[in-house]
Amino acid sequence: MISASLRGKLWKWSGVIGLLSGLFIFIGLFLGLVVAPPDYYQGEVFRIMYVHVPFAKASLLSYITLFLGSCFYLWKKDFIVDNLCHAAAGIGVFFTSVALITGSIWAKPTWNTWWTWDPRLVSFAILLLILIGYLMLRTFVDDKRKEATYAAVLAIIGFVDLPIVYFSVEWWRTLHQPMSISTRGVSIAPGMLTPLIFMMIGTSLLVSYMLLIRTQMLYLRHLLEAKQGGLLSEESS
Amino acid sequence: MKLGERQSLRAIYIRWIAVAMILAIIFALAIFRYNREVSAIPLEALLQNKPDGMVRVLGRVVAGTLMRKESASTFNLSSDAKNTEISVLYIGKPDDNVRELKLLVLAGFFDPEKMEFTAQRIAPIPNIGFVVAAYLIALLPLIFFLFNMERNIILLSILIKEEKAYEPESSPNEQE
Repeated sequence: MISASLRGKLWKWSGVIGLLSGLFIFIGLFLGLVVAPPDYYQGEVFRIMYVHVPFAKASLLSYITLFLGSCFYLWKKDFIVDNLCHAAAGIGVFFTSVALITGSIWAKPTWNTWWTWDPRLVSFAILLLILIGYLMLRTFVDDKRKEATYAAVLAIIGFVDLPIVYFSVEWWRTLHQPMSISTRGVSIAPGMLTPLIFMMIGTSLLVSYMLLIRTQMLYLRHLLEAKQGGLLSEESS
Repeated sequence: MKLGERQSLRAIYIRWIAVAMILAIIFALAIFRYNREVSAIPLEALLQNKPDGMVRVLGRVVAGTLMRKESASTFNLSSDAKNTEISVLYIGKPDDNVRELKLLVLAGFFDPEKMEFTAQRIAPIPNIGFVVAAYLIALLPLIFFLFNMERNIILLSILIKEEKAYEPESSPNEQE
């Protein structure tokens, strides 16, 4: 079980994480939109990278949190962890949708199409469907314990898609470019890389911040429901 | 609503107004940089205004007019919208982008008497509309999402306090 003192500390630190996240994102946006030079071939449109790539990574980070949280929930049956998983799914839907839409906007001027049946794009769209399915499942079951257990099982099964998303550009010859930052090296000019690093760090911190406040929000909502329904127990308080 | 709760809500509004202002400043700087370094005028505007000094002009290389020489290339540049053409002398570095039927932005000087444009370099295509769309789609919902979550936490905390979910049962002595 996550202790009340740890919970309190995490929520107290959420402000600092939020502030740091904002700082990194503002610097990243400034460097990406104002300082970084235009790309030789793509011109201005490459600047979409500074939202598309960090948001795509944020969606993967959300799903990893959902997966680990679901495993932990099945082990310990802690409702705070279930709230964290629920929060991670909502945040994951947001980041996955935005990454897909911004990717589509970037694809039009570079690939001359809004959508193509590319393994990376398809596996990423499946990730979105899994997350939406997860959230839908949670609305179908009345019993809170069953709801949390079924959702955790679905999240663990859905995790199969994550390595496919990540390695699809390596496993298949795809239209989507391979990883620009990998063990093979970095294939981005330093002037373009710095804003990306700032945005990646900022977005990762933002995911942590969003997880903390959304978990807190869901926890408070359940607490209020329990209180209003006269169901408040020691466990939920 | 008590004073402390009102202050918490006010703090959220102030924080998010500050965030919106910082973003607005970054976007204003980005637009300023775009206008100064990237934006290009159409061929019709070049012929109509005949600007002095360095100018960026957008046009398409006319098929069959490209002649490559050792130190320079010559071709005609046309407008997609109207049937307007000018001759171009490109004296910049050899560039893969100088191809027939290719849409180009050329940076250089226009001589209205000779109706000739001397281009010194190829500039990037000003496709900023896609960038603006992507950033608006990414950042606006993010701001609303975060703002709504923070506001919900305050409102839920207020409701819980009203329901006295956290307060222990007070003893009869305390009530007196």
